[in-house]
Amino acid sequence: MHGRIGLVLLVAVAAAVWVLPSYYTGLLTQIGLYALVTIGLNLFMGYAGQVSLGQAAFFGIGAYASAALAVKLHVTPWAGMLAGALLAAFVAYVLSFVALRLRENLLALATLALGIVINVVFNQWEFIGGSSGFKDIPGFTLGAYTFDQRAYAVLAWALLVLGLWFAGNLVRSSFGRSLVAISAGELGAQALGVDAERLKRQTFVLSAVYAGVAGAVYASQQSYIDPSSFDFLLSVNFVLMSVIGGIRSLSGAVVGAAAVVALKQMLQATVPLVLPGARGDFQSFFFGIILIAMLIYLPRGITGRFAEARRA
Amino acid sequence: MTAPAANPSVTATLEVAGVTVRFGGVVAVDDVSFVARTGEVLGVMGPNGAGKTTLFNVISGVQRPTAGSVSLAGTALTGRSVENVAALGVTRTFQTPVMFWGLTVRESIEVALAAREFGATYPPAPHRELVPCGIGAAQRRRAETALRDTADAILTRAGIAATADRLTESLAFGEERLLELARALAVEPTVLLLDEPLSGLNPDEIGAVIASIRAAREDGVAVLLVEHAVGELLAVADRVVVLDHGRKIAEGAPQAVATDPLVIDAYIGDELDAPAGSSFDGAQDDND
Repeated sequence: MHGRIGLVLLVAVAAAVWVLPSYYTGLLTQIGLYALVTIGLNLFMGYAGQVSLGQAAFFGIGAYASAALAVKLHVTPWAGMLAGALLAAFVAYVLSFVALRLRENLLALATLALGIVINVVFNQWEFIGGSSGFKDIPGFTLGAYTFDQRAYAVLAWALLVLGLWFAGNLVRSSFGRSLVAISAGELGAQALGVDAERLKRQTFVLSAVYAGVAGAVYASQQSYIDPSSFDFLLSVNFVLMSVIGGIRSLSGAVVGAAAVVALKQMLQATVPLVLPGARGDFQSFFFGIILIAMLIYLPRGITGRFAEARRA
Repeated sequence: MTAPAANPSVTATLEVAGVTVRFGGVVAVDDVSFVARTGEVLGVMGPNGAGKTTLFNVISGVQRPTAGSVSLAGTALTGRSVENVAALGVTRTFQTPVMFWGLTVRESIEVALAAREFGATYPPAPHRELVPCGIGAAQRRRAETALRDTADAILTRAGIAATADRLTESLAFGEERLLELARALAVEPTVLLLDEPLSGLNPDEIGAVIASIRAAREDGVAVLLVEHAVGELLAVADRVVVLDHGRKIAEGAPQAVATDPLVIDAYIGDELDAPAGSSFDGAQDDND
């Protein structure tokens, strides 16, 4: 079902990019890529019951891997995307042996630290540009055709549909049911033979793959990245997208990404009208207020609220 | 199925040898040894704090013993993880039922069936689970249908088929107990540890649980039963082990144990007339 809804969205996006100004096309790409990261996060947080405050690190690893390969070794971004996903998966796999021994608040702190440490690596490692990052990252090509913003929007949403379809299959499978089981009663599931640690590890790695793929596309679409593109605040934004959309919902990932991106845009447009001369801090202030209100009144996210309304 | 206990060639299934558990200066289990054989119900009795649940925790891999060992048909269980012990055939229920909130009753059974299907801990290697989520949709649908039918049959046998599509968070306490037992039986264990399965149940539900225990015994399962409802326990158990302050003070046939002065003195005296579930304190007591 998720795949079919995704296909409809993909067709809608593919049609919209021909009529939308390029600025909005860029926003559509952003929503598609952020939603892809959030699907992975929803699998890890919503279904497996864990928490990650370091997802921007995997997004960044995907971006840097693809950009470094393209700039330094002239590797096509398609292969860079694969490499970015694999590297993010590898890093998640190695880190999982430490991080996933921890629970709840400690896991949140560990993933937060992971995000900060990886950001420091981005900043300090001169081979990948250090604090100034990468410029002129080659774009995706298809034969002689070099991707423009419209093509990136379609690519982002095509990847999103693929991600939704796969995750949809996953949550309906024994794997998905076991994830919910360990999140609700880990010891009870283990007593049946369910290896909770392995499930969490596989889901953590999978969430890194989603983020890595999105990051690789982001690098080429922006053509410029630096460490500030993947800081702690981005990880917080991913968590917000997850929670606002509905943490145990795949469509919630898309809704959450769209809501956060749209909200920021709306504030950018309206705050200067209401408070002329207000600095950017005011937008963050109102963003925070609105988010707190949403978390109070929609604790199960936007899709969770719709699900409740349907049952009522 | 013929009860394997009737077969003289059947050997001990579960062997608990000299198990001791200390929590700092407190000795929760003190040098306890016994065997549980296939196709028998072994009652484990004792007052609160006797070490029954701690013993179950040791057998199921939740708690590592300070000394002693547990083995299943010669394979050491001590030091293994809970899921590894389960994969070798030892599963359990809990004093307070552990429910998988967010799943329906049927889906809860399907989790157990998937764990059983792979014959080891679940999930298997990524290529056996993650990759098929992307390909082979038709084949997967057939497998899901088969899984659903098996789960429905298990629920019917457990007497909770009517709840199949309900979310587990909507179940009444008695239904939770029945579901937890059905879930444990779905993995077709060799050894089943039941921690106060009758407490908090009404007479009909007690009848259903006892029928399930007897059916498991007929299927050759070694059932270890911790229960404060002494009357029911003595009626269903083939043998009984009695613990007091962590030590084993008696072991034998139910009637012999029930008339043992040491047991009467330590525990049984004022419990025999108590109705089922009357001693349930409603709390998970890991140090019990």
